[in-house]
Amino acid sequence: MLIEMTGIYKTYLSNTDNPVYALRGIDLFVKKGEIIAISGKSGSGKSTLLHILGCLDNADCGKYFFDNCDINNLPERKKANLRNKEIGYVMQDFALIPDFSVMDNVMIPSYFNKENMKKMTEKAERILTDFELSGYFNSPVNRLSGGQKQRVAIARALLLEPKLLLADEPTGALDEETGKSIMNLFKEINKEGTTVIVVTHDANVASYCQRTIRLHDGEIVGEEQNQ
Amino acid sequence: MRLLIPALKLFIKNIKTYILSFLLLIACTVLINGKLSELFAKTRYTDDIRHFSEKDAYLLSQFLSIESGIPSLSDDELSDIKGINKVMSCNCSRTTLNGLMQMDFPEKAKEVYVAYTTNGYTDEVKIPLLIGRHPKQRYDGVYEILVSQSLSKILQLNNEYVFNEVEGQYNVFVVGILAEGNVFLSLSGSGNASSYFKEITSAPPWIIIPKEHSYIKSYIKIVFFDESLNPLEKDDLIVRLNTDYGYTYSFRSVYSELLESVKRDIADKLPSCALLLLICITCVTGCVSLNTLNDMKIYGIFRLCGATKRKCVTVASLINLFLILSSLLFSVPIFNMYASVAYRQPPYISWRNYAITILIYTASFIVSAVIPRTILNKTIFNLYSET
Ligand SMILES: Nc1ncnc2c1ncn2[C@@H]1O[C@H](COP(=O)(O)OP(=O)(O)O)[C@@H](O)[C@H]1O
Ligand SMILES: [Mg+2]
Repeated sequence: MLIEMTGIYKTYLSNTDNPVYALRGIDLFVKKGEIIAISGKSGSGKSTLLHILGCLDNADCGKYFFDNCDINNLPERKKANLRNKEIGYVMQDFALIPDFSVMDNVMIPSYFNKENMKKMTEKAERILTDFELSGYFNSPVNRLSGGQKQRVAIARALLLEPKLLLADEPTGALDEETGKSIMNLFKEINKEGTTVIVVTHDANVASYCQRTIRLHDGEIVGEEQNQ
Repeated sequence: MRLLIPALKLFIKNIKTYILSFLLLIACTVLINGKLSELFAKTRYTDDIRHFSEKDAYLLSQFLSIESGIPSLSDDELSDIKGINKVMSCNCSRTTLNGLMQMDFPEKAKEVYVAYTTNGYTDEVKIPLLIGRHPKQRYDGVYEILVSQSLSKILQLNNEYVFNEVEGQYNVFVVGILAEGNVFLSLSGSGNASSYFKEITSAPPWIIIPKEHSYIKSYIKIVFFDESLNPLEKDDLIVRLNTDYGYTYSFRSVYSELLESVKRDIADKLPSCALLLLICITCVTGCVSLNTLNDMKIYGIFRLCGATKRKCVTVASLINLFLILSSLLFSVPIFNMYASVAYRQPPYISWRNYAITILIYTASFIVSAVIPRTILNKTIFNLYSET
């Protein structure tokens, strides 16, 4: 098991008088090498769940084991290390630095560990070439198309060969064709052994995954196997 | 270490927005240093004189009173002295003083300072002055000393005073450093004082101050050179040095006068300097904070890619450091340039100027780091938890 989550609650108290119960008792188990989709309407708590999965945020209560490691009792430094090496992120808005070059964006994770810089650079070049971005190493990211941007973001997520790839509405800002190619890319990445979790409200996108977990108002309301 | 890379990249990305802070920091450094420079020049004298203890004053007066005799000297040093038994055979008439002086010096003299008074032993002692340094050897044992620029200026200023009242009566002091580091001080000249000394003592008209006490030379220099001294007190001082035992009072009065004027200067200059610094720091802080706010998303991305909060704060501080260091790099030469234009004479830049520069930059750095730090610490946690 890569992910074992039981009884996860998350409540947002900020801003309004009435608290938002974003997650209400989530149990989630994901095996190594799976590709799953988490779907649900906007506001159902998908992103919140993804942030907890990705050690970006803490749950209020519940247990979370990532690769048999108890995340609840992990200091921030170790969590940062997990985010750096074990978990890759792909966001709807790409989460790229517009003024930085493609290469600089892909190399961001390398600034926060002590791995060999040269090897990481070579790796980045290799992935970008695989992703058909070989001519764009030094072009600023804001000159690229949406699909290219998302591929840069995926390249960055894969730089340190993570065990888990998290994608929050990765196709949300893309047209249908590009969205499909991105989803195919995820499938390929998954075939090479990386566990992938894709958050989406789009049934088409979810159909690329082995199973879909449906979220509603912070609770899991159903699960489907896809063919 | 690796954090330097994203910091440098972000700094370069935002460099345009830092230009204002950059210019402000430089302007602030130059202006504050400019304001304080004169003050520092003055405080240097005050400090030197303050460190001149009563014991030093006594020592000096002992040297200056011929009766107290000459300190014992080695053979070598005695041979040095042989060269200077005609020390002040120069012609110090009103015409030659402004031009070239020709006199005999010990061959091994490295540095020579000359000061002169008129009628050294009476109340009419007048302004003592530096004439020149680093004498040029003309021929064996004879050196030329060029009258320094500042002297000719002062000579002109005090023309009437010096030349009309007491014609042709000069005492010339020569203060020099012998090769071994000993200091010699001559008390002779064409004026009355030398003949007075010659009449009442059998000692030669010079004094060798042993190396251990050679720092005294610098006090003599100070006393002679300090143009900011009240002329009346200069007279007073020289009179005291020439006669016996009035020393303590003289040094004290010079010191307290200087101290008073320094205090007045500080009271004059400090508020405007503080205001300048405040404006500068506020602007720099504002600029750095705005930039940090602007880049919040980027710090969020860093966090996504495995940066701890602390690393994000470090990156922000490093960017701040780049700003500070790059403006520091420019401000020192710019100030030097400004100083050499603003003051006619070569600028006097003391360690205090550097200290104040460092202070300005450290203060700007610390203050301008606080707000970005707080912003980052407070908000970064939620950066990628928002819909
Ligand atoms: N940082 C936050 N502060 C307060 N409320 C939040 C925050 N993040 C999310 N929420 C609320 O939690 C709920 C779930 O949000 P989210 O997980 O982003 O949903 P989804 O990604 O499925 O659209 C929403 O009602 C949202 O308004
Ligand atoms: Mg969302």
